[in-house]
Amino acid sequence: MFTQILFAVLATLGFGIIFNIRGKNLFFSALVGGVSWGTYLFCLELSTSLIFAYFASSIVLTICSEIFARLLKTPVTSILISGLIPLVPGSGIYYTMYYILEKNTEKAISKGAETLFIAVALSFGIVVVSSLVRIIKTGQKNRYSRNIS
Amino acid sequence: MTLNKVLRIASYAGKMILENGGETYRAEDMVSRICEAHETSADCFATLSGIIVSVTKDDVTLSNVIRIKSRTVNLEKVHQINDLARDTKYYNCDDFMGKLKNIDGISRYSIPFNLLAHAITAASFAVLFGGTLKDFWGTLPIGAAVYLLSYSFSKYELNGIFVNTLGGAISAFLAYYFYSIGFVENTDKAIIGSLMLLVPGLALTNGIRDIIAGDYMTGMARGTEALLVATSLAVGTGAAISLSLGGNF
Repeated sequence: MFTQILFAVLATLGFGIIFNIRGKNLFFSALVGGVSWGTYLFCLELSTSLIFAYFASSIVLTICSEIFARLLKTPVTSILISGLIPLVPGSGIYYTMYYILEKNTEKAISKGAETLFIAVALSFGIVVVSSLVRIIKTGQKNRYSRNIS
Repeated sequence: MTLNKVLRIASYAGKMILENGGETYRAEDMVSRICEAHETSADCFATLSGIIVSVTKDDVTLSNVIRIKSRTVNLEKVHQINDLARDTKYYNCDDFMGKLKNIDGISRYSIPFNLLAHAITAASFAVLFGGTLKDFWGTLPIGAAVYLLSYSFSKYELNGIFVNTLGGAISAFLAYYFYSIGFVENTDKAIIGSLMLLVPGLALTNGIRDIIAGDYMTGMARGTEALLVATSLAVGTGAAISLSLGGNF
């Protein structure tokens, strides 16, 4: 498991360089990638369903990136996007299209559905956390303005 | 004509955000934030392939349409534009335009460094998908080859489908060749590892995020893009695999 996380960090670091992330942001995005892959493996170890593992790791990933983005004063995207890389179902899309070309429709449909569910789970995790963050932020702003008045 | 200048800088900033991998809502936010800082009211409609901005002040309305043709991911630019937009009110329009032009000129990491990054990423993915350490070393040169291909074709501004088909074919060919000389153990892990550099998983996930956020057009566009790229990759690898297997038997 440890080597797996190490390779996830390496892959995220590589994509960070490809996406031209610089300085401290690069380090933290690689870290976040490792954390998200670690959460995914941990969930699988607890034998949760595959989709839930992706959902949980995307939630952990987004929380971490929101925190680091606030600390580094950078848009959340620049950390979130590369942290998402190890989880993203790239191989799923590729295999789906590959099975279709092989005329193996049954496998293609099951792989395609799985890929779509993974992508939906990942984006739901992100949306849930960023909505919560927005609620918290708006709450703070209201409290602040009330203090001033 | 300050209104014209405000419109120019706002739409230029929005265009740069979209061209460098920012989300559509971020571009729309950015445009209205810059316009508000200059005391004009603005509305912006951004999609993946274009951006429409209109600015209003004192009974005068100006609008601007910008077509976005090529998109890459360059998050350093997004980061810097975001920083700049936070201090909009401290700059006048000409200074702001100058700063934006500066940001637009930011270079990427050097080519050897990029080569290394592509190689390591591809190899790490080969291991993440269940390959062995031997596959790691074998996938390094394949990842580098994929980068060299996409880099050497980037200056011709070719259709993405062509480059992706070729990339898929090259990675499959190399994987089978390395397998035949005993350099990798699992060809499929080596292929999919190096394809992760081209594969549109991020586009699909971001597309669904856009759809959830209510940007249906952008979401559908991203989904279609993902499907198209995946198809071209599969065509390339499929052709290369059947060719190399045909040669062996």
